[in-house]
Amino acid sequence: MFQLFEFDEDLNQQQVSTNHQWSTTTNKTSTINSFSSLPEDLWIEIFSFFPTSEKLLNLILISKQLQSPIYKSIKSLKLLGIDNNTTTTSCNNNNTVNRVAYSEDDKWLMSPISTYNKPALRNLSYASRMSTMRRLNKLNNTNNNTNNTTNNNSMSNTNTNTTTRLHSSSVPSSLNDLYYQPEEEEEINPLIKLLTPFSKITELSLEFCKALDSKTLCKILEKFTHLEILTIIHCSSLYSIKIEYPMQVCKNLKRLEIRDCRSIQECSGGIKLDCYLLEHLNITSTPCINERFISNLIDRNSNTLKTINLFNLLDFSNISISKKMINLNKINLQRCKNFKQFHLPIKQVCNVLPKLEELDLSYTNINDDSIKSLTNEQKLDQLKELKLENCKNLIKPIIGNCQMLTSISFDFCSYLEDVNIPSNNCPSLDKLSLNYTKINDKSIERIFNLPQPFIGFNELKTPPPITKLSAKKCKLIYNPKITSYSLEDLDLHGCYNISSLSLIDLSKKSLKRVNLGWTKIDDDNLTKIVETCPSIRELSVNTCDNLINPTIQSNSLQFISFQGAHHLQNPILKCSSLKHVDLRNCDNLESPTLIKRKKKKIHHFSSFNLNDNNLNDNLNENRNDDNIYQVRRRLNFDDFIDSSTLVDSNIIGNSTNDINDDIKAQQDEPTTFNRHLNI
Amino acid sequence: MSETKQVELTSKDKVSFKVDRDVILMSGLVKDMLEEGDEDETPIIPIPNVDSKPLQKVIEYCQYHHKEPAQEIEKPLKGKIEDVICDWDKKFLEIDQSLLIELIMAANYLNIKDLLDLTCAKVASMIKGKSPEQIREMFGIENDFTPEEEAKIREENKWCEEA
Repeated sequence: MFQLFEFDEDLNQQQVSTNHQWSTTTNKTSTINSFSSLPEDLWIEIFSFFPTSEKLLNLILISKQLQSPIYKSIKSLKLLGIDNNTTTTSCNNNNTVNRVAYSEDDKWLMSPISTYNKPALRNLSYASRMSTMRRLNKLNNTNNNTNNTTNNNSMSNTNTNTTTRLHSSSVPSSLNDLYYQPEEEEEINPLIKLLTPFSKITELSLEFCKALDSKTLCKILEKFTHLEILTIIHCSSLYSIKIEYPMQVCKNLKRLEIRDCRSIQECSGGIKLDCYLLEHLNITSTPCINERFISNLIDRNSNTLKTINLFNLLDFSNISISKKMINLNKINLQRCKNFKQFHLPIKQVCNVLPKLEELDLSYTNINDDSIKSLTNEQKLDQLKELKLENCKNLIKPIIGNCQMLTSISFDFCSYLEDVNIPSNNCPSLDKLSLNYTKINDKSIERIFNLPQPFIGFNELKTPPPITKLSAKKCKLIYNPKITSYSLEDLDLHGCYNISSLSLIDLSKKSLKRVNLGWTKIDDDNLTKIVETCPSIRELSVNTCDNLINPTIQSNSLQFISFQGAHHLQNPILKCSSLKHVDLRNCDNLESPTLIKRKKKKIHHFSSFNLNDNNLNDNLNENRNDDNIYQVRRRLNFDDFIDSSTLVDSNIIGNSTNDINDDIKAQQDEPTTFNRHLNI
Repeated sequence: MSETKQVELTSKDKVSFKVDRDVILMSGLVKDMLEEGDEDETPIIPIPNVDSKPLQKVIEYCQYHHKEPAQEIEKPLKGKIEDVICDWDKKFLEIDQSLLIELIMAANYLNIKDLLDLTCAKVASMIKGKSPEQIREMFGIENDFTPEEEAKIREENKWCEEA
């Protein structure tokens, strides 16, 4: 075998040498043409490396031969603000008005043809004019049937008139050419004209195109059958969308987006979509999306749909899903204000939405019952995020069994009183957000589900392991008791009725961040909270007017903010890891004390009070005193530089540079900590 | 035998090349043919559409890139191609135009996507930033537009603006 090859090669070698001569000569001649000899699909490949605008404005002018590959290499197109040429639109409107007016007393045949702006028609004989008019009238009637509802009465008359006429008189064959003229007129629609060369686009986006009407859309879809992504945004001339079976259109359509097409009305035809391979559906603020429409669409695309996104649609109150949605991952029904519930098959526990991960029902009309049935009767095994913001009908929802649920948000549900998460139901729940609700002390307590202190341990009944609880601006919280094993982050900012808080961290190491800003918490309470939660790292008690002389002792605290606590006078912070203290706008601050290590007083802020006159005012007013301000800030950035030098430099230092140097020198020492203090 | 299996490629001008099987599997065409065929020791695959010179280049490319897959070239191309490809590819592309074209054809015929991308991007990079006249000159393409037609196209495509 091997030998045979060598032999072969030898033999070939000769051929090659002869061939070579030949090929080089031909190459010489063909180099000039060689680029143009590339097949079209390779040019498409080459042109795919260019942005569309460059192709259409520059490259298109190379040669006629390259036009087609250039157009074909354009896969995605976004058309913005394509309007009808003003003449055609206004003219069409005139026509309708005119014809309706004339038809009533049957004088329409004599209507001035010049309104069509078709000079060609003027030269025609009376007979051809007549047939043209009939034809136009017929067209017009079909248009009116869909568009015109106000003139129903008058129109029905004309309809009968014209149809009979059309049946009685036959169009002469010699006028056949003419017969197609109005269609041509319509094809002058700038959108179609524009799109014609782009035979390979798969992604089309039409935004603010007044030129888009129902017919044009149909034509576009007929022509571009391989469209995968279609986006229609705010096309005000679009009165209906009809993509109906068995049209071969949309057989590839994967993503459909209809946004703000507010002209689509039920009476003008509404929307009919028979797509069956949709993956992403996105409809926003478009009227006439009703229950049947959605249910049908979901039904038909149950195998492929991945996301459903309906925003601000007011015409439906429920969605029924009867088939298993094997790919559905995300449902978003935000601001569908009338939406009330899902109609799902009930067979004990069933699994229609096995892949659902995100469910957003914010700003809807959903109530406790529908939430209960949804989460209890369905196996929402993959559900991770549940958003129920601003649902005014939620009062005491019960969350069923959702194994993977990690985050629930009830923000702005202004009537929400209680959230019931039975033990074991949401073993992954991590984040619970109850901002701006009517939640009260008891319900907060119950969320952590430990009324009897820590007994359910053996029963394997675990409360949801919430790590982040946020309940801002809940006016009905007064004296909450929060006892948790897992909580890391607690935000009660703006619950201005809270006068005392019992916060117990059972694990002694999980709670990291606490925000109690704008509450009525007092000195003793704060001291106690920090004691019972020894792992707090960040504490915010901004604008807590009941704080006067709090003592805070913690080894973990790194950031503390008293911003705007107007009555704060002499806080004592015995915090060994403190990095940042924020005392901005504490108008009555007298002498805050920071103690870095136990028993060792590193720095007393007596030096500070020298500047206290300035301090009492808002710092912004100190601009004239820039130097001192800067000095002080600089000082506070690294406030733990050993007292004596620091105090000296603070008093003496008029130039910041000096102090910078000082501080740098100090920082080099291993014992100094980089600390932060804003006043 | 643990020896790497080899494949014999025969070019249009009847020059044969021996290549490791793993290497040439980068070519979709060869891969399909090998899967169909029985397991010969050294199967011979005729490549009747490709001359020896580009074929050798193709093999070179495969030998380098079958271990280190090329990075995808971003579309649309930003700047020159030299900014986005590796040094080896840069050197690889230092060839004259006619070979480049043959290489494109070969890559297309042999169905090697990365090589096709690379070579096409190279042509794109050559075109980039040039006026239609310059491009015509470079590629030896005749201008078959009348001035009226040119004006018409300009007018028709006026709607297209930089996004």
